[in-house]
Amino acid sequence: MLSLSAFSILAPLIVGFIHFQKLALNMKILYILIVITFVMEAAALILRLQGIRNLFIFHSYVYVEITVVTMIYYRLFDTFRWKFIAVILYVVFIGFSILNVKYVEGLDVFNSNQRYVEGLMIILLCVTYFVQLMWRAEHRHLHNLPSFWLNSGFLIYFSGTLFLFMLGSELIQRDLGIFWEIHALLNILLNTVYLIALLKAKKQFVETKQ
Amino acid sequence: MNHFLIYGSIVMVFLAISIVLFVLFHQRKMYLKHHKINELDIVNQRELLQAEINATERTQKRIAQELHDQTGASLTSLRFYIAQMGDDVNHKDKMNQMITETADFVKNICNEMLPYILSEAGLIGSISDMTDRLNETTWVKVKFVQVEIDETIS
Repeated sequence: MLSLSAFSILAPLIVGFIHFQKLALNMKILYILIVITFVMEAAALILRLQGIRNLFIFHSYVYVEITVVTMIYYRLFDTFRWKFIAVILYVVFIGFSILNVKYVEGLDVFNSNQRYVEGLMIILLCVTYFVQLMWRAEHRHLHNLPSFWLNSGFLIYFSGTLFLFMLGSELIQRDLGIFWEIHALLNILLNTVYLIALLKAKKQFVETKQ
Repeated sequence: MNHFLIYGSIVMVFLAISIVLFVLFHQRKMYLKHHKINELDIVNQRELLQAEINATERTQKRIAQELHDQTGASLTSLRFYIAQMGDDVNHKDKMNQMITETADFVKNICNEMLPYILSEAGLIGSISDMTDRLNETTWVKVKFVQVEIDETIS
């Protein structure tokens, strides 16, 4: 399961690379996140194999992830109010993260608080986007919309990992494998959703061209 | 701890999937509802437009009929009276000419507003009438030939 999870990023990575030119800007931003995720996971794996602590990579990754996700939602929201709230949430989160690293969780421990708060923030953004979609009622078939898939993927992944990240430090200290098993399952799901979103974006580009 | 984590995560994933499915189906319902409302709006607009066209046609018809029946008839009668007057021939001819011109003018307005002959005699009758008038009033000689017409066209 863990190996499958690690390699599952390759599918969206390859598909995104092939169709990069055909992707809308939001999907290009998503692809950048996929590339960064791949690079960071590879770096974390190499460090782990060499016996070097790699937790600082996960700390850094959260900043990249939240920045990219906020950019995506900033573009997806169609009202100034929600764009503004997304930016405010981002700034507050960055402030919280810096304080957390400095005073609560250092770079050498698992960043439970940071990931937990990040999860809550992204869940809020996901729900808001869904409300916007329902309010506008512009699309008959939401399953053809790449952003719908992406949003669903984020919502399921961050909801599922909320308890994991909340208890992350303790789980890792006790070396409970269940943490990584559940995370691996949700990670595979998220990467599958990335893949679907990229394929839908490519299909949308072809249909627009026709 | 393990059980809490597993069940907690399962519940959260289940809730997230429920939200996704709810949005998917509810949005489709909303879309169809909006679409139906838009369709009804279009139908209403079409009906309003048709009603407006009908009202305009009725008004045109009424004005044309009044011009034709009242004004045209009065002018014609007046022309007869003048013709019977005698005396000043020049003055009489001038008045007669003016009345004839006015009557023609009224007739033209009537024809423009309501092609009377078209509704009475149909397309072929109207074209025949038009060719006759052209032949009478201009140097252009027009010949109208009627051939077998497909029923679906007529």
